[in-house]
Order: sequence, then C-alpha cells, then structure tokens
Amino acid sequence: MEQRWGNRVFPVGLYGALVAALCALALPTVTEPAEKVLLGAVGLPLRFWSRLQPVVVEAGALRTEQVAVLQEQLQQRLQSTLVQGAVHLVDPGLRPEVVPVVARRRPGGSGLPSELVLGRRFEELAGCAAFVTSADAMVGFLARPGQAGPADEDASQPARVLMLHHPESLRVAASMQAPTGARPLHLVVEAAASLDPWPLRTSLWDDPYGASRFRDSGAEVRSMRVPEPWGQGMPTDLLVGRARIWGYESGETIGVYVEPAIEPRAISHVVVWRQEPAAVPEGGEAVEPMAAPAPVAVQLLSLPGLDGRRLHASWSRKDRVADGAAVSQGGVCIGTVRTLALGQGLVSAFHATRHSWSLLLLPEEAGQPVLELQGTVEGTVPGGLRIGLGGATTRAARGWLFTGSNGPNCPAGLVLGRVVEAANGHIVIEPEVVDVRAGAVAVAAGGNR
Amino acid sequence: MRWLLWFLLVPQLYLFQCWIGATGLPLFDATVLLCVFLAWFARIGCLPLLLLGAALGRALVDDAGLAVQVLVIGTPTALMVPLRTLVFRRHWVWQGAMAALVAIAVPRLSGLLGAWFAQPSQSAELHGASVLWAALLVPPFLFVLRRMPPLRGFEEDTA
Repeated sequence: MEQRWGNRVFPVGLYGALVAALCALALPTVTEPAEKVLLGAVGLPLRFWSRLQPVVVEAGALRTEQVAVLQEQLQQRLQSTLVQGAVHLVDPGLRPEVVPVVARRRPGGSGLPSELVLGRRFEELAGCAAFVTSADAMVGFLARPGQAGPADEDASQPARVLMLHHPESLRVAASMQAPTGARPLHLVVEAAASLDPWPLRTSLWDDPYGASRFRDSGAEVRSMRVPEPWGQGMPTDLLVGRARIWGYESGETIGVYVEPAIEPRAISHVVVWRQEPAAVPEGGEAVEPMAAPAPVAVQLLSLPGLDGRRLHASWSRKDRVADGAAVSQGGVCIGTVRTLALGQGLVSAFHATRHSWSLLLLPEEAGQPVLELQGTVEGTVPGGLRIGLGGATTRAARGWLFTGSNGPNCPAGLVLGRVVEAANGHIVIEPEVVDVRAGAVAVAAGGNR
Repeated sequence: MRWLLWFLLVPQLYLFQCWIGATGLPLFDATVLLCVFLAWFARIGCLPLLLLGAALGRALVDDAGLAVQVLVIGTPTALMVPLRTLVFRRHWVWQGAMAALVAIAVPRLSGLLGAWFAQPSQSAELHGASVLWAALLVPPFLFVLRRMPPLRGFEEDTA
C-alpha cells in the first residue's frame, strides 16, 4: 500500500521520460531519426489529406518577373557594395570574386560565430590571397584544409574562413585614429575570449599611455601592412572595426576592445581576391564548381486554423529534402522546412519564426549599398511585420528585404517583403504573401542524395 | 486499440485547437487540458507514453522539437502529480485553478527551454485571455473528453 502511495506521488516512469528528453537534447544526432519517424507517422493523415487536394500552382501577389528583376538588382548592387569598398586598397594584380556564405559556426570572441563555411571548395579557391573582405571591411583569413578543423579535411570540401575573432585566426596589425591632434596609435588586434564583451581585443600598443587616455568608443581601427610572411598580403586601411572602451565608471580606461565592422551573424557573402591570371590547379584539370542543392517540388497544406503560419509539406519519396531547406514559390520565401520521415516535412512560415535570420536589404534609393542585417521576427504590428535588428548593424532603410545566408539549403536572395518602416533597431515589412492553400506547390532546396 | 486511438487522435486535438482558435471562438488550449488530465486523472504507469503522444501533437503545431515538447508538457505534469493525494481533484474549482496555473507555466517554460536549447517558438508568448479561458473551459472540456475515447481508456481506476 505504501509503495503504491509512493508511486502515485513520485511517478518514476514520468521522471524517466523527462530525463530521456534531456538526453535527447544533449545528443540530438542520436535521437533525431527516431523523432523524424514518430512525427512522420503522426503526420501521415495530413499527407493523405494533402494528396486529396487539387494541385494549385500559383504565384503570390508579386509576379515572378518582378521577383526576377528584384533579384537581379540585388545581385548587381551586392556585387558593387562588396567589391567597390576595397578594390582601391588591394593590390591591382588581384581580382575580386564574391562568394556566398553557406553556414556560420564555432563560437569565438564574445561567443559569436567565428568560422564561415563558403559555397566554394578549397580547391576552387586555390591561388586566392589569404585575406577575405566585405566592402571596405576585413572579415578574416581563408583556412587551409585541416587548419582549425577536422584533420581528415581535404581540398574537395567546402572552404572556410577564420574570422578575426576565431581563436586560431592570425593577429592583425592595425592603427587607430587618436583624439584630435594626436598621431594614430598602432596596435595588434586579436580574438577576445568567449566571455569578453566584444569579439576582438587589442594588445602591443606602440603608446600604451596614449591608449589609456582613450575615453570615447567608436574610433575606427584599420589594418596596416606588415612585412611578409606575417602580413599574408593584407592591404593597409581595411576597416577592422570600431574601438570599444572598457573601463571604470569614473572614466578610467582598463582596456580597448574592437567591435567588428560587420555583424558576424549577418554576413551572407564575402569577397576573395584571386591572382590574375587564375592559378592553374595541380594536374592542369579544371575544378568542377560546387553544385547548388537541386530544387524539389513539394505540395503544401496549411494546417487548419494556423493561417499559413505552419504548413505540412509532402514530396515524392524518391526526392530528398534537407533539414532547414528554404521553401519558396516564384522566388518568394515561404519559410524553412523541418523534415520528417516518409517524404514529409513541417514548414514554419517566415513570419511565424522566432529564431535569428541573416537578411539582405536592397534600399529603394538607387546607388545605396545593400545592407547585411541580422534580425528576428518580433510579431505583427499594424501595417506589417516587425523585425528586430541585432548586432552592430542596426541602421536600415526602406526597400526590399531578402534572405541572407541561413544555412546550406536556404539560398540568399529569396524575397521576404517590402520594408515600409525603417528605424534604428527594427524594421517593419509588408510580407510578400504567397497563396498556400491546400495543394499549393512550392520548391524546397534538396540535399545531395 | 486504446493506444492506437491515443496516438491517432491526440495529435489531431492540437489541430482541432488551432481550428477553433481560427473560428474566433475562445481559445481552447490542448496542452493545458492534457497536462491536467495526465497529472490528475491518467494511470500513473501509462504516463510516459501518454506524454509522448501529447508531445508529438504539440510538435506538429509548434517550432520546437519533440524533446522540448516532452519537457514543456511533462514538467508541469510531474509537479502536479503529487497533488493527486492532497486535493479533491475532481472538483471543477481545483481543475480550473490548476488549468490557469498551467496556462501561465507552459508559455514560460516554452520560452525558457526554447532559449536554452536554441529552439524558440511562438508559443512562448503569454496571452492573458488564454489563462482566463483555460480556467473556464478546461474543466467542462475535460469532463466531456474523459468520458470519450481515447482519454477514457487511460483514466485511473478510483474505485
């Protein structure tokens, strides 16, 4: 009787289930397949229901041709934004090449992602200069295969960039404009610790006394050329970031940190600098470019009552759709998919997500540079959808909003909507509405089978 | 058969809840209802699998993964189970009060766990009206659903 009372008060099986859930969160790769199968089985009635719907292929309010024009404008403006800032600083013998970023990983200084995975293989970037830029800013250095990564990594794998706040990145020599009248201070910029308030810290000042008299944050820190081989060909005057003073409340400076010129979570493209003429690969064979994920047609079913916020997607079981793949129709982003077993997935519409997105903003005003932003949907407000902006770049402008780099299967340049209000720290967009009635067909980025 | 019905129908309860919400009727919260049922009425030995069925349903309509859903539903349930011996749980006032508490706890837990495990979701937003409706609607809904499959098959024998 006592044991029965004990079991009623302390249900061991229930506690076991909670512990198992914690283990699943600690080891997601082990439990993920079982979760996909379970959710796939539960979603089967939705798959059957979806198959009964008539197939509808219809673009949203924005016509496909308009989307194509916008995407073309974005590409052109992005190219000039990213290249023009640095082209006059870099050795004329180097040719710029804009490369997409497909993933960000490994927390570095201040806990921010410090490694960029590029949409090119190491072998494709053979012969490029080691430094990587974005507009007039210094991003980091191209890693060599195996450097700060898996020991068995080879040249056929996606190239990586170690950003300046990566623990194994090279230090860079830099100069900082001192208060009016004083000469620039010279220093070395290196990765800060993950608990530091900013991602980069400074050391080896040529005038430590001068540095200790700094009171105001915001001074530009720019690169300086140093003798080879330590300089890695890095040019002078690339923007490393802005000084951030850390000190006592009374005003005395303890240390000077540097906030990178570009928010690491917002970077969607970088510029690598290729030797001209292009270096001939070993063996003289042309390197095959990295293939983009093949698109897969998926049939959507808006879950009842969820008003397009959450959708069930199904596709032919011969196809493979990758987790986190973008689902789009006519170049307009609907959301991203979480795949389940049996050719199904659950799509979270962009406006219903609460995680961080890398975004690209094409300002309405001609000639304005494309802005790389990091934002999180905060909810609907009168007139649209409010997106909070994070990181260093919180300025914005009216224009068109696109996806940035949100994983290997969520390509940059999908339309999200028109920015109708731009304030410091947030924007409001009129989301581009896609008709996701039952049976609507969209495209998801597939993975390699 | 009762297990088949549980795993077949309980996930659809979440879709039904969303459909009710879309019609403009007062928001009926399936998570709160299932928490109260699991904690106070379900057979103790069946709780882990019943919890799994409820979590699968919630994972259909929410961004966070299955493990987070197990914790979101299972934590308030585990805290309420000992109250079986302390309160007269069949009284609707207790059920309403507990439903209101769970209606506050579930979004808070969703937010907390979502932030910890990098799985944020919209269900972390707490609406005052949903607490009120949970207190008012969960007892009558529970009264009806406990007399119907699949919940009836798992009700604790109090005789």
